[in-house]
Amino acid sequence: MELAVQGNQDCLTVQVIGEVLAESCSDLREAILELTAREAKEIVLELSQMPFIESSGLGVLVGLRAHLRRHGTELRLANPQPRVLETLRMTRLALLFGLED
Amino acid sequence: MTSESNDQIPTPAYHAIVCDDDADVCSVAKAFLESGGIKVDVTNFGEDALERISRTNYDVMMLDIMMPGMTGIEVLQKIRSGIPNSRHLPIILVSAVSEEDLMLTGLNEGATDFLKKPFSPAELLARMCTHAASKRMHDKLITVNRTLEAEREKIFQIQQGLLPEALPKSDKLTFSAAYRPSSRAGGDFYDAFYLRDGRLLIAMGDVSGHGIPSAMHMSILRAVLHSEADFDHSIEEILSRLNRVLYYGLDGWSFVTFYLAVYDESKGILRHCGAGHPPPLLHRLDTGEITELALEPALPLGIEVDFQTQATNHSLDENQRLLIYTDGMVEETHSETGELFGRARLYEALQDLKETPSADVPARLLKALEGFSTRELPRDDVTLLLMELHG
Repeated sequence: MELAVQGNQDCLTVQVIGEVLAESCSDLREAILELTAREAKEIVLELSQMPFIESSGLGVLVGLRAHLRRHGTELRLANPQPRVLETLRMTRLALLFGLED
Repeated sequence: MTSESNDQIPTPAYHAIVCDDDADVCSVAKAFLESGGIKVDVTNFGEDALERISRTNYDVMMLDIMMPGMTGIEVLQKIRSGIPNSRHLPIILVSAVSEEDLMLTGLNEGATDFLKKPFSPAELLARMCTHAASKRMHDKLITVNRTLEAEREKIFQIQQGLLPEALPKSDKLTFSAAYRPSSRAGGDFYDAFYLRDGRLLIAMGDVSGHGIPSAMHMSILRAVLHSEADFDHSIEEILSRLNRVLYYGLDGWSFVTFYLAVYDESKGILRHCGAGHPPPLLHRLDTGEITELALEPALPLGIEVDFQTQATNHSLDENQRLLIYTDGMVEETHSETGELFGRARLYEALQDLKETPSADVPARLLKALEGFSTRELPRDDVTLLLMELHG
């Protein structure tokens, strides 16, 4: 898994490239936590290049969302691949991350 | 607190064995190694060296190649292939410059290092110490690994004890289940038991992630579920209480999907609700039709402090099977192509098992999954619970 960050104070976009497996979960968590200091209004995880995320990775996303909220930053997910979207729908997490109304 | 640092305990001296037919070489090596604090056993014969190695856990060996009787190469081969626990004994071959081919043979046969005669005793000491240190580290890792394995095994046993020993059974229904953790300790949980009012409570949970932390969360879930069920709460209330316990009890980096139902055998009514869990499948054995029994949408447990949902009722009839499962079943992929097992294959597999006795169905579904994925262990924990209503 690799991450590419771009954007400004209003919105940081983090592109997630590759599978998020249990082993890469803490890397994902640490990388996004580091962005907390930038005090962006919104962080968008761009998921078009992420074919799979393990359930522990979903746990990290949920934890990050709660942590960032306490610092005034919204976490949103964008462009998940069909399989990932299916997982997010089945667990109803799609609702939480602004992928469904 | 007492420190357990090994630095405070003097390391026992390294124990080396020197095998060379030249008594002079042996005594020089012994004297020099002993001056460096190494305990040394000396032998002039390969057969004797083998005998000693089978009795003593040496840290390092110096082995001469050219010896009358058994050669160093033969000794090396015997050690590497035959003597238990000596596969990792570091062996430093020594030989004359003219025996370079033999030296290569020795390295191919598993020698750790080599020295050409005449060698400096200081270099011998330095190399013996380096290899002995790595042997000690290796031994230590093996011990640590064994301890960890034993701990894991204990947790696995505790977790197995949390799953129901026997599932409910009556003249109207039979339960069967299959559970396949992705590692020795999983994060899935299921249960089915009769409540005091005679209705059946059916539950399944899936802690995000797996392994030991998930197994610990699972044990909390079970305890809370049983104590709440004793108080005649509605299933929505029980879910909401479980949510609160998990919201405060989880580390903030995990959540739990949950399925909870009560079944009234006398009326044939299933009342159920879920939290981010896949809806169960209803298989009508007379028509072969398989449908999802819808659940009101709700987030998994442990994410928001308040949890609300609305349970829904479904009429069940004889000759029907209800399959409750965790998403590991449908999200498994083929080990090479990455293709998803998916719901369509689950429906198909379930249909194929229409004539199979219900007791065997969950295990057979797991088999179908393994046959598809070609993985020895699933990527995620897989749990299946089947309730069959008899005709």
